[in-house]
Amino acid sequence: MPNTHAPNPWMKRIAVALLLLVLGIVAGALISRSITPTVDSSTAAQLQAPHPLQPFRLTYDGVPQLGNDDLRGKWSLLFFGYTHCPDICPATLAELARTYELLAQEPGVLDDTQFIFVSVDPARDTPQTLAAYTDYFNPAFIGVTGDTEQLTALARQMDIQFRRGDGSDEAYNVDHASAILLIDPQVRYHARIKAPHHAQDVHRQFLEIRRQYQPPSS
Amino acid sequence: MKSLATLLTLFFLTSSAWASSQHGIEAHDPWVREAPPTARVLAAYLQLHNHGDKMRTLVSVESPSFKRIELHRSAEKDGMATMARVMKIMIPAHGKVSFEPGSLHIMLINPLAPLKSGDKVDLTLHFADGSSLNIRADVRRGGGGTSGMAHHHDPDHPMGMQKESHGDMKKHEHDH
Ligand SMILES: [Cu+2]
Repeated sequence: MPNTHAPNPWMKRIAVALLLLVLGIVAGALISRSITPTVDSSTAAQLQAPHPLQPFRLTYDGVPQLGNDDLRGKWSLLFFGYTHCPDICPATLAELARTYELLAQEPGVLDDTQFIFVSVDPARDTPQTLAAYTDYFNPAFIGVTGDTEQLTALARQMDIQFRRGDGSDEAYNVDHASAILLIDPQVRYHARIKAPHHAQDVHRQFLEIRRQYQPPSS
Repeated sequence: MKSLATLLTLFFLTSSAWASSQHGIEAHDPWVREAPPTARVLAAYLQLHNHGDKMRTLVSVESPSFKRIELHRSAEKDGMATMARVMKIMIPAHGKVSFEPGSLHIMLINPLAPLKSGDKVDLTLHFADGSSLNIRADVRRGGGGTSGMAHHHDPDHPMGMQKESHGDMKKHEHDH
């Protein structure tokens, strides 16, 4: 007789354990669901209070490369780097090229979006080098540079730093900010997308920012 | 008969160079990131496994396809992307070191001819004990993403060993 009753307490214990496990999983899912979106939107694309870019002008040998008017009426994704950078720069540009492909699936978005690579190494990067460089990643990408003073004047407005690193003669390195900057159609520095960059994230954050954007009422 | 012998010798020589078991160092998945045709610098990546009982130190790399080669480390710190030369890289006994995007890489400077996906690059790795290792790397188009900076996303990535050798390197970097 006791033999037939013996399993019951065990069954009960197992049932309780299973119930607790299920409750734990459900609770965990609920908690992570309520936490994830907050983390996403607040840290990934650091939204600034958009601030207008002061007039700037990048020229190379007197030839205009980029100015405020080139950014007006469009969303611009800016990335600062240099072509003698074989690791982080091409990886970021490859991600931006994938971002471009993802955006191509959203009707109309690419019509007012431009991707601009700003070289902070005018000593080695000519407009010709830059054109060939950006063309490799995506023919729609734009590559520009200017003299160091002009570059600093632009970069400073977006908290972008760059400085010559180690290495001598033609093989020196340039340390540069790794963020992607988003300039809105009113030529305001609008958001900073921090590294590491993944096309899906950049794509999602950019679309989210566009959705929340208030065009100037006129 | 003589040509057969030559062939066999050649085969033996190359296969031993590839496997390099006599050195205890083994290279895995060596590849070069394809770059725009005008690029003056490229990066090569691989994993080096040390099957031996002694720590090994990589001091230089040579290739007939480039004027100059250096060992470099990229890093991402306080919002800055940096790249610095490292003079030597320690591979601990029975350990491994990964050269990967966003981190250690073999910096290939001034290619003698443009390289495209599918091309091969011969590299000779020289170690502090005077030994060397020949490897052949594939040129391929690297993304950023998955192969790229994946380790930034993965706190559990086994970087510990690398960090250890990094610490050692830091100490030696200024010896030069
Ligand atoms: Cu490098």
